Amino acid sequence: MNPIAADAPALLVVDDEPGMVRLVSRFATDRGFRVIERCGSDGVIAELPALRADAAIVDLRMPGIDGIGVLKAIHEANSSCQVILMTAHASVESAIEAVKLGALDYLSKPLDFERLSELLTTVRRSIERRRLLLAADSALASRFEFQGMIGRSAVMQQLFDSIRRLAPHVRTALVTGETGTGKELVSRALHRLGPRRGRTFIACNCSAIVESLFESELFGHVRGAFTGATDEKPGLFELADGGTLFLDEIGEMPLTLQAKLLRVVEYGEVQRVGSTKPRKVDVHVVAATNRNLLDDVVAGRFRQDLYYRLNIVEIQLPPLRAHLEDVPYLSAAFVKEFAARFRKPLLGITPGAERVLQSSPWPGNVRELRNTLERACMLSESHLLSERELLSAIGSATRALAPSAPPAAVDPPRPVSAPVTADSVREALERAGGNKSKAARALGLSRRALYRRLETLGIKVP
Amino acid sequence: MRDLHDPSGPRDQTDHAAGDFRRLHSIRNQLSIIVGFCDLLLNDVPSSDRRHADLLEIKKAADTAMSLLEERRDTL
Repeated sequence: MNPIAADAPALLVVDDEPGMVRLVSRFATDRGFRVIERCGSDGVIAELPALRADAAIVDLRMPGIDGIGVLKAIHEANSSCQVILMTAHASVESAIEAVKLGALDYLSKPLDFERLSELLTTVRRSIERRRLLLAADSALASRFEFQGMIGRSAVMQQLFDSIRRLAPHVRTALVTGETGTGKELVSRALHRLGPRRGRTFIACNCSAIVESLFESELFGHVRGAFTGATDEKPGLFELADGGTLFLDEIGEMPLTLQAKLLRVVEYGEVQRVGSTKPRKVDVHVVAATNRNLLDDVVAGRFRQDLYYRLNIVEIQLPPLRAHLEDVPYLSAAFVKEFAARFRKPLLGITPGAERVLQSSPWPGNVRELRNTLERACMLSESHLLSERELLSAIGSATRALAPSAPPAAVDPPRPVSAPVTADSVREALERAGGNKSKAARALGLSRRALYRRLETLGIKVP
Repeated sequence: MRDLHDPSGPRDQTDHAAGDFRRLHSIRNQLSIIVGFCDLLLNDVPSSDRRHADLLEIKKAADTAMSLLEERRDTL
């Protein structure tokens, strides 16, 4: 008997006669299959997701759930699993029904081993073809890779082309796009392809800095500038001197600091908090936002002069739904990456799983696709990521996002980009009974961002 | 006292036929296992080996039993 290869296709054999299971098992093992033997259909259906069979040979007449029932359940669990039915009493009607339900073939007992051998070869070849196709997708994905981003679509190729052309010249840029579209990757690409490659690149998320520390973080402070400033500290601009500073979620920057930022961008001067002495810095600034900054300018939340200074070069990233044709390449690359990281024998995804990926709206864009595939790869034990594993990964993400109990008497969250007026803030606070966290949630803001709005809009809350 | 259920009634005859069919099905399954393993062994044992002819005898007997079974099934 040949030793079974680690990546041998898995064949499930189900018959209520143990002798028949052993007979088929012996034949298939000799042909390089890893056989999973089950006597009778009891419990098999519940086991199907865990068995992850590539193909199955199932007896038609069994006590309890018959072969047709098992066939349906197999296809529900994994639509790419090929099923061969066998029976001691073949009839034209049952053969037609089996084929209609998607069975690969229908064999009568005693088994015609020549025919069974042909069928097993067909199954093997189709699995191998699928694996080769996936390997090709993954190879193609690496061909369409650009600075950590993957895209074969026209829209992504145009984006890569713009980055290539702009990077050698750009000093200030604004990268816009929905969350998860890869704004930081674009800014890193601009840095790596520009004259400052090899110099410092610092990324700063403006929404992650406490407002009271914002100025000190960006521009530094001198000793004694405020309570707790026991030492002198350079800010991110000084640390990035000679390199690039990436300011993510620039729309979250307080108005007061926007004026200071403009000064750095225009004149290359920073002033540490508590100091009167300006310092010269030479920093390329790439800012990013998922909001419509022009709306913020109109609403008075963002300085117009800073906006026009930043968007001398504006790079807009498309949402994933605008280039769904890239999903197979992105998926192949992610599956390859996670299979290696989690040491899984994964080679790719099933056609059913591919359909799920292709038809999902991906509101969280490439990041959501990547996270979903990461979770699915973690769960998977077979060679191909199944539709069920993928749906379960998508389901767990949806559950994680859904609030366990909706906040009472508070409106559903508004989109982040919706203009927040003084009236809407007052109304949200009133509805939330003065609870700022609840009001912030209803407005689609972070608690900190709400505080900032209260300050800017001059609303006093006890 | 007479049984409420008449053993010679049409329902009983149908039950009998179904039982016979299940038995025939099981016998056919067992014979298929014998024939199947014979086929596998016949592939492994060269025709020059005495056991090859023995295996052929077993297979022949199983095939005959299978034909008899088919005849019986047709009369059901």
